[in-house]
Amino acid sequence: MTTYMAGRAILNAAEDAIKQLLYVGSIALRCPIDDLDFENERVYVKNDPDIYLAFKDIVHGYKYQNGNSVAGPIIGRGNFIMYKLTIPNPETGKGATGRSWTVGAQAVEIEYDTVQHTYRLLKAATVIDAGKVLNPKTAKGVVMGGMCMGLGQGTSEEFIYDETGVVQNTSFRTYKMLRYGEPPDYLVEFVETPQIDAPFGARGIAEHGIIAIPAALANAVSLAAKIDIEQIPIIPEYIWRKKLEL
Amino acid sequence: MIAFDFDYYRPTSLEQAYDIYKQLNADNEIPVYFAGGTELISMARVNSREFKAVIDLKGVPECNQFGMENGKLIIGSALTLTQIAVSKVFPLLSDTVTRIADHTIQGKITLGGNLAGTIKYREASLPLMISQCTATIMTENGLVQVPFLDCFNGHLLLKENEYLVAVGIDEDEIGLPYQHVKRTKMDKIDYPLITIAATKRENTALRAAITGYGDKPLILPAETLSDTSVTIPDRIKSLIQKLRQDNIADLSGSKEYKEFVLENITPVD
Repeated sequence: MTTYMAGRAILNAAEDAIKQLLYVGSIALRCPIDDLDFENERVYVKNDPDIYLAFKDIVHGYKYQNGNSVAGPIIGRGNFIMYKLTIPNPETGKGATGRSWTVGAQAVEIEYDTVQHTYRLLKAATVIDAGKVLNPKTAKGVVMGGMCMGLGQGTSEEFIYDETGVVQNTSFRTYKMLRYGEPPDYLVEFVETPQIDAPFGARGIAEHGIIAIPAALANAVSLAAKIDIEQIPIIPEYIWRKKLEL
Repeated sequence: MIAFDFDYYRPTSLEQAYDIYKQLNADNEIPVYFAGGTELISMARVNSREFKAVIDLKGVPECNQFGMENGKLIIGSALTLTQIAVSKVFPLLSDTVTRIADHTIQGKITLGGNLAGTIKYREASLPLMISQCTATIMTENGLVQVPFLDCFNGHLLLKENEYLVAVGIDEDEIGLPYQHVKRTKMDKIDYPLITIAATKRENTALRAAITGYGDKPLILPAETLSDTSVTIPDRIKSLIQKLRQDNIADLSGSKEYKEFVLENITPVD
């Protein structure tokens, strides 16, 4: 959603800033706005690019040699709100509650010990429709980070309460997150189906790395242990108890 | 952050350390002996332990011994788990301490700190409990050497002001065939659900000790372990029966699950 909403607002703000830059440029260079363009932090005359002004000389307003100044600091302004949203029907859940979405698939591979009911994470995979990948390394990193968090939730993250509701695991010694070195091999790939109203076609992917990983892990353990995993975190004691029920 | 002030002492001799502690204790200055600090610092940060003075034993030469002496391997109490782990002189102890906490913390935790700590597992004690082992203690009357089990019954049994200086393991015991298995709730790096250490000496009984099962490390009854008139599965059942009153549920697992894990405790990796 940040990609879509903040992205659209930023694009609007950039357009606004460009308009102002060209306006100041047209005054300082004494030519019509239509004859100006911008590139490489400069405003220049289209048919004679040697006539130009650097952004740094106009973003605070333009100062003539005799000391006169025109315009002022350039502040681009832009905003965006999701349009045509509707309140969901409380019975059916139908309604337009968001205008940015994507699809993806995730999988987890484990090695299961049939005697001890322990398991090891071997591989985790995610393929997401990113619309348009804007920065390949950042996109891969954010999805991998999400997968790591999803595996933490699936394997070990859990608050434990006593009978009076007091949290028992109050430090990272006992509230177990995935440690550096514990994650499995990650496979992250993207497909690109542009979202036409999103910035450069990019779809939000920040949270998606987490979502299906615990479920994929649960399916892997269910398959390996021949039981139905119904809760996370999936610890060996839980698997052992489920096996006892058989 | 530690929200209270305290004094720091770094004595350089056995007597100096003992005398400082004794004096501060008499003056109600709440001293603690200090080595790696991992437990004291983390407890002080959450206000579950308060002290007015720490006496750092790392400057006492006798607490830093490491070597053979009169047929014994002497290991000073201020040696870090990393120092013990990399030496591999006593492979069972090296393997055991390599699985305490994580690599970074092993560089801080000391042998003495792990044995004297309030965290119930004290995994470093397991190899010592099942070996011919002595403990050297600094007492009112100077250094005293006692059988390890006379001063360690799952936790250190020392009088006020006393501290552990070193342990000594019989040279012919450090190379015995052994097995060490640590099982946890889930993560490799965690407190033990059960950690077991065992040695086998020719013509003598199998010796084994476990921790994580109850509220302190325990020696498994040797007569049951080595009773060859009974099948192995029956021996295991009998052991579990005998340990039933020691079994305690904790954040790592329930009592029933601990019994299952102990029954199936075979090397995984």
